[in-house]
Formats: sequence, C-alpha cells, structure tokens
Amino acid sequence: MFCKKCGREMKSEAKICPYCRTDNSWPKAHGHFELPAELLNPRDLNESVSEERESESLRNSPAPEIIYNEETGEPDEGGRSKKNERSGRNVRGKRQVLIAAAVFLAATVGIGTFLAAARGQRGRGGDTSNGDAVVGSTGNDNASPGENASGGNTDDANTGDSSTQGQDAETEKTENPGTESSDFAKTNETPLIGNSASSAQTQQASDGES
Amino acid sequence: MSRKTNLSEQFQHTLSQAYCFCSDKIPGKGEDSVLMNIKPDRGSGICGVFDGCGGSGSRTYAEYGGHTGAYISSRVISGALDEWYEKWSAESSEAIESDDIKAVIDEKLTRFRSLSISETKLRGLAREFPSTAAMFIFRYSLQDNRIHADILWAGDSRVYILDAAGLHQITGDDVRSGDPMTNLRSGSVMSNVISASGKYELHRERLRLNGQLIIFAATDGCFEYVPSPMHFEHLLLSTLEQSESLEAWEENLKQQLGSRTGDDMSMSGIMVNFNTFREVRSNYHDRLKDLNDRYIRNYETLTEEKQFGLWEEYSLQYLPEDEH
Repeated sequence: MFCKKCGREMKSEAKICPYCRTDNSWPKAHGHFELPAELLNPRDLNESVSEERESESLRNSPAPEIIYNEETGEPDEGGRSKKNERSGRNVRGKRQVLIAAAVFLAATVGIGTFLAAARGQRGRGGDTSNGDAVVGSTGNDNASPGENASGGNTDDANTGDSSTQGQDAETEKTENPGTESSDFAKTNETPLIGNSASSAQTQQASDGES
Repeated sequence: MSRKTNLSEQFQHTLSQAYCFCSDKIPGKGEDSVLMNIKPDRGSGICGVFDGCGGSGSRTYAEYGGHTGAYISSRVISGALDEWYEKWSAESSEAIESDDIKAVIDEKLTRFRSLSISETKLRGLAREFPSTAAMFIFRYSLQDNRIHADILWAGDSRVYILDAAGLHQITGDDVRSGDPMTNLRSGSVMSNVISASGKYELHRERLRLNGQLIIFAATDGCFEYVPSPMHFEHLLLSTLEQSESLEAWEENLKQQLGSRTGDDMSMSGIMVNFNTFREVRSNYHDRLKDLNDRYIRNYETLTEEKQFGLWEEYSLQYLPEDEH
C-alpha cells in the first residue's frame, strides 16, 4: 500500500501516512436517493389508498358529478376529500330513499294484487258478473291497505293493470317487484348495470308480451 | 494469527490504493453515480459506476423532488448495492450470482416505481428509472493468495483492466453495434439497460487478478469523447506519467477528461500489487512510449482506413479474446 498524497509506501494496517500525515482511510462513496418521508409513512399511505378507493367507488356509482352546497344551493367546489365525502353521503341518502320506496311499492302492490287475486278467485267461484267490478274497486276501496299507505295513485295504476283477471294478477305479482328492483339496481353499483339492463330488456319484452 | 487477521493483512498488502470520482457536466444535475466500499477486515470491496439514461429516463417525478428518472435510478441502484454489500460482506462468503444482484436492484427500483404517482398517470413507452451499471466485487482468497473479482454490468458503462500490456476492456457493450471504434464515430443505441421493468440482463464475468494492475469502472463520459480507444489509454497513461501522486493523477484525469467530454463522468477503481506510486508510474512507462509510437503519434495524419487498421491491431489486446 502507498500513500495517496505522497505516494510513499505505508504499512498496510496504517491509516495515517507516517511521512505526510495524510489520512489514507479507504474512500467510500455511494449514491443516495431516499424515498420521501410522506411516501414512506404508512398512515399517509393508508389515507391515500382509502381516499383513492372511495373516489373509485364513487366513479362506479351513478352519483351526480356536481355536488350542491346544502346551504347556498350552489355547486360545491370544495376540496377533493370534502367533495367525495359529501358526494358519498348524498349517494347513500338517495340509495336509502330508493330502497324504502321500492320496499313500500313492492309491499303495496303485493298486498293489492293478493287482495285482487283473492277477490277474483272468490268472483270466479261465485259472483262472476261482478268480478271485474270487484277487482276494479280494489283501488277505490276505502278499506284497502293501499290508502293507508298513501299510495292511492300508484295503487290505481297497478290495480288498473291487474284489473283483468286473477291469473294475470298473479303473473304481474312477480313482474312488478322486478320492475321496481330494476330501477333500484340502476342506481346501485356499476357491476349491476349489466344485470339491470338485461332486467330492463326482459321487462320490456314481458311488457310487450302482456 | 487468526484467519481473519491474516485475511485482512494479506488483502491490504495486495490492495495498494483506491480512487473514485463523479463529475457532473451541469453541477447538481448529474445523472451518474459512483460506488466504492472497501472492508479490509473482511478482505473484500465493491466498486461501480452507474449512468442514468437521460433519453428514456427524462421523465420527471414531482414526488421525488422533480428529478428525472435517470437522476434517481443511478443513485438508487448505487445506494441499494452499497446496502447489499454491507450485509453480504458481513454475513456471507457465498459466491455472487448476477440474479442475486439483479434481485437487489429490481426490488429497490420496483418500490420507487410503485410509490410514484407519475407512474400511474403517465405510463408510456419510456423506460422507468433506466440506468447502466458497471461494477466489480472483489475479495482476497487465502487459497491462492490472490484477489478474485466478480464483474457485473448492463448497458454501455465499462470495466477495464490496465496493466503493463495495455488497456483491456473486460465488459461488452450492450449496444446495437458492438464495435467500440465504430461507436465512437457514429454512436449506437443501447440494447440492454437496467430499468424498473426488470427486463434486462445483468452480465457477469469472473476474474482472478494477477500481478500489478489497475482495475476500474467508468461511464461513457470518460471514454466516449476521444478519437479512438487507443487515445483513451493514452490519456490515462500520459496523465499518470505527469502525476506525482494518486491524488494528483485523479485531478489530472478529471481535468483532461472534463475538457473533452460532453457528459457526466464517473470512475471507480483500485490499484493492485504496487508498493509505491512511483512503482505505478514506472510500470506503465514503457507501455506509454510504445502506445505513442505505434498508435498515437501519426494517427491524425492517417486515412480513415488506416486508422481502422490500427484499431484492428490494437483490439487484439484491448478486447476480450472471444470478441476478436
């Protein structure tokens, strides 16, 4: 070994040159580029990932792009996370209303058609001349559960459809809830869109048939 | 005397000196990185250079300080290999496999890629974090009392050995046109380079170092801006001849190369089996005279055909035997 400064021979184990006192420690060099701390912090990472996932699910949902400020009524142009949060809340609220409406309609239609079918059955078995009138009167019947549920108009329409025969009413009983859940499915998540579309097509076909 | 002490002493007795430098063409914007880590007590060391590829690696990453992929990659690879070497030299005496080294590089670059926002937004044809690498990991063997070196490389950075017979290019260039002389004149596209995709080959060569020599790694900023490979050797030897010490040689080299190059330049090397710097100079004195007489003195006056004729003659000792 020799000294890098004066070039003279040195003992291998010596670090300081005995002649010129230069430090002859072995040079050390390496590149250095660390990941920024915020990328290494798992908490930040998790927040970033969850935010990304939420916005991803929102992209998949049919929520409106523009979020309106509840107080001013104008489009909310707040921060990204705030916007997502509000957007998420709106979607969830709308979804709950739709579910409640669908359940209510299904229950109303189900009960209405059940009563219509029961009366139709009774009519076929006895007073056939009043059969249509009996079924037709279901919607206008003050004692019907439909009114209690304040679904008069809907009931009218449904009972109008089901005012033909008891047999048709049974078929409709299985189709009408399908119509309602198809609408619901459209407001649900994207993966169901394909299913709900085919449901809609199926329903259109069955409407055509009926 | 314990085996470890003996190993350390023998190693340091054989290893004469080490040097490295990394010079940015534009200060603070350099895309080269240099690696040197020597562990005398473990009888081993690692030297390397890494050249981030400015073309395909020109994409900038805001989350990484706005630096280019080229700037980041050469440093990340250099740092990753330094970390690897610290562990390997402490824990293991296993043979080095290029796949193991590749795994170290890939793991680090993949992590940088996975955490980069730019990667998800701007995925394109450009390579992610591209860089060349030329390095050697050396260790003293008590079995034959010699230094053994594993040489690894990808891209157009090189490992050379300079001995009394002249300059020898140990690594092959991963370029479309493999001839070093032709590449100096027309340039060539790299065919293999390290990147975060992991789609590259890390070549390996094993050597046993015998006699007095200098082994070093260099990026293309050192050797690409001379008229011929003979001129690169001439530059090395003439600056050595003019220097009184290793420090002075390092300065002379940087100055001479820097005045020619249009690129960043890095060099990392060791001198083996010399007792004094004067011994180094005298070892290459005759070679410098011979090189001057045979290749350099009249080079500029020769036709291109004759220049290539000289190169063919020179390449017999310069290139590895299988590339003649």
